[in-house]
Amino acid sequence: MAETIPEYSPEELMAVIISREARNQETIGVGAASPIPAAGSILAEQLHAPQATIIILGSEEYYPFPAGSSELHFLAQRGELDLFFLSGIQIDRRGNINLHVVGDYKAPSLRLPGAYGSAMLYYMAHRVILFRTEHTRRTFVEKVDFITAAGLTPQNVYREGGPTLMVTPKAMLAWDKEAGEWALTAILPGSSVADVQENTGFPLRMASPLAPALRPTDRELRILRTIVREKLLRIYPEFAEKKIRNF
Amino acid sequence: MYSMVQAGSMGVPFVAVRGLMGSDILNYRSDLRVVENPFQEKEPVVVGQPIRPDVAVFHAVQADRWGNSLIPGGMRDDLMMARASRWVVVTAEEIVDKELKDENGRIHTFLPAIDVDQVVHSPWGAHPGSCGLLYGHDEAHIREYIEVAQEERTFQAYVDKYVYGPKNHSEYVSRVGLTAREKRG
Repeated sequence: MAETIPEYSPEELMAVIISREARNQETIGVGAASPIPAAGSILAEQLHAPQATIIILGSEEYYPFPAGSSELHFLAQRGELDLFFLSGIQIDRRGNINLHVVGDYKAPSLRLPGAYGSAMLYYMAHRVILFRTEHTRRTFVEKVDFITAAGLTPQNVYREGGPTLMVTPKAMLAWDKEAGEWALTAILPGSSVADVQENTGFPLRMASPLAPALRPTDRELRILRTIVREKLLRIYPEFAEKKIRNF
Repeated sequence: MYSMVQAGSMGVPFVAVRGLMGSDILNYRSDLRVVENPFQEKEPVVVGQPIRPDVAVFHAVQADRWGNSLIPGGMRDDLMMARASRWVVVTAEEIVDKELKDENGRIHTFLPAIDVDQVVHSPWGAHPGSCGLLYGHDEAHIREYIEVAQEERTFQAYVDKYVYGPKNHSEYVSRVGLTAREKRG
């Protein structure tokens, strides 16, 4: 059945792309300040992952524990978290993320709240998807100013998982574990390989062949804009109102 | 961090944690060290010093004279934090005569008297934050703060007016223009 190509916001498409990565019966965690992964996880639950256990910080409906955010933290440390999401003010070629400072640590031009458990979660969640709504040379850098959570693992250190995918409004990049670098796997509508390279501060490896441009289906958008939006209004009201269109 | 607070609540000398290797955090925190896992030869692991705050302060909807307290909102880590801390103060909207019990876990977090050292009656004590169903965030005040915090001079004026200016809490309450009438519920 042919689907028409609808209009959508970059956030809606990113949520759809993330939803396709969530699998049924997985335990999926969504941390603080992560509205796009929250939308993607709930969308997956509505579409193909009805038996996933979804844990969203800040939600009552998606919070299956008696105590606070330490519960999600320790669940991940036990090796029981399948999928988690992280972002960073900077993300680099080697998969390092920076949630601490821009500039010198002792005299930064910008100080951020900090790791919030990411230095552990990046090791112990089985798969970590990075998301960033700004795809520019100041966000995707050769080397981050401060490594909050490391992409590469020193010798003999125990690690359950790590980076697997990065989603931006321009592209999807997959983590090449052998090479310890990102590889461009798909372009989002409105961008191109040249555009992605132009806005990335390190040379891009290419997956061959490149996947076709990623687009949401009518069904994905409809569920996102109805059931998911409704649930998201109780967790991220401003995001749900402004970024997810009302069907 | 959670592990270090939990270690503080348990009274253990240190705690081993997963991950963190390769992070610059290790270059700046003297309370985190890399050691060899004593149970796994040649495996480097990070150990942390327990966190034992001198004082922890919690704001409650209700507290009783023994220290039993109901903190608004369920699903919180307050008990762990209280136990890690050496002195626990509860400020409360209301101090009740009856003995409070651990009920309604999704609505309140219960702090038992044995983990509380001091109770202080302080209506509007969470301002400009919210306090459960009693009152919401004072958005106008928070906007005012964000505005003045941009510059040292205006920030100093704010602190003088609201922090150092009032002689006590009730003077603060009248200065920010709160009245009991505005309280919900």
